[in-house]
Amino acid sequence: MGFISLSLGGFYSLSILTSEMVHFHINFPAADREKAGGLGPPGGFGGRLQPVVVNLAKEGMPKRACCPWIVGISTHWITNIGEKAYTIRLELVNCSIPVDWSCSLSTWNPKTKAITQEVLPHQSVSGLSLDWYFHIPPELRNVEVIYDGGLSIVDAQTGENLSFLPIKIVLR
Amino acid sequence: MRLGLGKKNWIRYLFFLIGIFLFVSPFALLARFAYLILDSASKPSIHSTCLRMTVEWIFSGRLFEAVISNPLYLAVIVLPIIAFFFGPLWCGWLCPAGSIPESLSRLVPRRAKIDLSGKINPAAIRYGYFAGFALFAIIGLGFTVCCYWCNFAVMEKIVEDIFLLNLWDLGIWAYSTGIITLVFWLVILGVILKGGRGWCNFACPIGAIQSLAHVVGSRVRGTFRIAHDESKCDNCGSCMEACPTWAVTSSKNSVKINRHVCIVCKECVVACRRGALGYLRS
Repeated sequence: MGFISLSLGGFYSLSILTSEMVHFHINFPAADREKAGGLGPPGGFGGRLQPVVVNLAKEGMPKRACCPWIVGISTHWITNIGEKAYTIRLELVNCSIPVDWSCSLSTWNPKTKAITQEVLPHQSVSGLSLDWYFHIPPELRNVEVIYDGGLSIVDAQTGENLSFLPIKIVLR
Repeated sequence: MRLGLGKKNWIRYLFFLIGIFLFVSPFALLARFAYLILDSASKPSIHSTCLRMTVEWIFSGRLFEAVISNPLYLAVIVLPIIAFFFGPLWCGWLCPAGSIPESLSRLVPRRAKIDLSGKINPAAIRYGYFAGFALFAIIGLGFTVCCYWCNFAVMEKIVEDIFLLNLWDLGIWAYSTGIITLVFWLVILGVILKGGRGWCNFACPIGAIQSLAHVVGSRVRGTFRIAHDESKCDNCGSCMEACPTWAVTSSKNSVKINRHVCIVCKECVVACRRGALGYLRS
């Protein structure tokens, strides 16, 4: 019975993997989008790199009943794949939807959206939990593509764009 | 109306509070102290000493790497060692995810609670769950049963909400498995279940590991466990009534302690009027 309930739980969470609190990883500096990251932890789910597309049509009933039209995405993995240290700032590109940012780090500046501590070469931001909650406004609740933009990592010192990970929120 | 409050094990309830202050955000004093020494920018929280991911990492082979970045993850090794010698003290005395539903369950009248003690074997379900947890981790799907169904995360959000007066925390409500976990951990397997420890009994991987250590340890001379003295027992059943994990059962005019679910909380020891139960060295 324990094994069965756990398996059911496991398969249920697989079914909502791309619709609720979608997790992704992002690397920088990454000139091409192949290296920028994708769905799930580094390497992707099961070693498969997939784009970050949140499909609200696949949301589970409990979430739809308790918290409709608030879309959470999250990352624990921001990795410097370059050869020098950077201090980074994050930007949501092409986003007119109200978004709450929530970060676990004491080195996080909520005003500038910057991580004030340097990220060393070949290292990830340690102990990171960064969540975004999109509050989908009524006028976007009937469209097929609610958000088509992405997350940019910018060098906080120079303003240089280091990486861009496309993110889509769709309803199909 | 008779509540589930019998003789009280006050020291244990004090430890429940200590558990919350030591491990749960916004306090998380242990992690706060460790991060001060490690000069870490991470937020001190229950995740700093995570007991679900670390079990998953044992089976997916990532524990060593994780322990190097955060030595607090060694708890997954330390707790079973303690359980081997002294029983699952973490479960019975400190774990906030167990103590909160248990404490709330004691406030619910007995008549209103579901009593499954003696009707099902919690150890079988618990080890079945644990086997599945390990299997999912080995085949690379550990994340689907680990963080998505984390009662620790849900519990911490509730504690944070209460202390920070934030009553609509999106951290719980923004994903279905969080909502389902809340309902099962706190209500169905918590407040309205006799003992309030249903989640611990059925679905806690670190609890299962500690119980295995305790089962083995209790057979070794010099270790501590709950012991029963038949000569003093009058079969009144108060120990069975007091046990939050249904570990004490009736057997041939005596009582039997199921060490696979016993959390050495000493509720049975406190409840016994004749001193037939004790936490003793073997």
